[in-house]
Amino acid sequence: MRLSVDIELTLKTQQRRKAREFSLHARFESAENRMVIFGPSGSGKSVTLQAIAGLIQPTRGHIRLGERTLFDSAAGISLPARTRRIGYVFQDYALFPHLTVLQNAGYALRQWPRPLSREARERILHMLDVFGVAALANNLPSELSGGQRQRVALARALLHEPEVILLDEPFSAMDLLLRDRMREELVAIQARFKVPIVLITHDLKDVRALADTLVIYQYGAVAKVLPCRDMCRHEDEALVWPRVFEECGGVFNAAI
Amino acid sequence: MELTAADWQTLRLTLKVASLATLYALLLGVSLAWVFARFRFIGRDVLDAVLTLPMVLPPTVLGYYLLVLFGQRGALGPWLEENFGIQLVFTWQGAVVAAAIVAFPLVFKSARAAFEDVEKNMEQAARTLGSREIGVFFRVSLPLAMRGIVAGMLLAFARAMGEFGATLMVAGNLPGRTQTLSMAVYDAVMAGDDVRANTLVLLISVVCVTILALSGYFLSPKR
Repeated sequence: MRLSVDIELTLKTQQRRKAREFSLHARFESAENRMVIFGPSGSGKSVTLQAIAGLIQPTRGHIRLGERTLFDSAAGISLPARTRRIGYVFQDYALFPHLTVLQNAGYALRQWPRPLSREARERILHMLDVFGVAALANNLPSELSGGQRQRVALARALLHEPEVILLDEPFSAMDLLLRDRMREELVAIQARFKVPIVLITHDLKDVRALADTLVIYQYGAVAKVLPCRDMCRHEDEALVWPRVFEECGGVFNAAI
Repeated sequence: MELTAADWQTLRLTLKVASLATLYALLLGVSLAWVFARFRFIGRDVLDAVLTLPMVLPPTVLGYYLLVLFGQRGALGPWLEENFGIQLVFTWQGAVVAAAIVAFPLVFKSARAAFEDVEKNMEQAARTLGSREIGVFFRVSLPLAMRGIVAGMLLAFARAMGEFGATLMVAGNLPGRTQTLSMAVYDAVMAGDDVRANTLVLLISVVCVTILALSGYFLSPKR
């Protein structure tokens, strides 16, 4: 799936009564199914994902996914988030606290105000089974562990049959052991469902595991785009990754 | 201590007026609260102050405003009567309007705070899952704000039950027609009928304590 992003936007935020401005100019393109956006906090990674999902609107530029134009300021196109078919896994998972695991996962399948159909219910249970959380179908999110919450959030996104899933620092709230396990699970899920993913991180292990294309952010702009998978095809992996990590480290050193 | 048929009728009328007033305050309060929590527009703060006014104005002043608006020679009174056959002065419908306006800010304030407390991420998540705005409201925002809204509704009901000043100005104190419990208490005391006053005071206290206990339950932090 080809994803092409070229956007400019300015965000005005209030911080301790001081108006702050943050401007982002992001431009990258990739046809790989596993993409990682890497960069220090505040470099505009989350904002980019939100723009792709249609949760904020850039001032200028375009966003294309496959054959579809999601946003194009010149042509006056901006699809609303609900029609973009983009899965979004929030950093805190954003599970609905008043709905059970089954209702959460099946949110997109319910033709509100009608109740969930029998077929939909079966599909949801099957998906929950794939993620190993079917036994928790009737529990509330508050009763789940961090790993289980993330599985439900992913199942919920997948059941909407998205063309791409965006993950905003999905492992940042986990301890190291769980983080490794959930990363492996995500790799396996991606391979199983063949769904393209874009993941934000500042963990080099995520880069190594998931970056077919790596986009490095710095100061609200794209510092570098590295086609890691292509690079590995042409030379020894053992040589490629240290170089990639060095590039990653560079943006942090420059920030200090 | 015994309740007469007239007392029961007064209680029935009080509950009818308070329930209808709460219903109108709820519909108006929740929709306006949502608009205020969701959108920024010019004059938002001024309008917010105006909508909160019924909470701080003396009820008699409020009643006077209502008379000016809905009285026989008021701005809207003749129009209402001509087009809808509704007369508000000296009728129980007038008592409903007065109580609804007095109770409105309680719903509005708590519903607005409740909507503002709903995490933006929740609503955004619903949108990425294909929900229309109406779906986002009924499936996510409203259920998540429900506790605050219910708490505000119970307070509004209690306030409407005890409403005296504005109702007296608009609907009067006609036994059997517009007399609510709080006015019956006033009448009983003025007439020196201590037994009746005690009975009515006890009755109204029990109802209000029940409502406050319920609202305390809904206001307490989530279990």
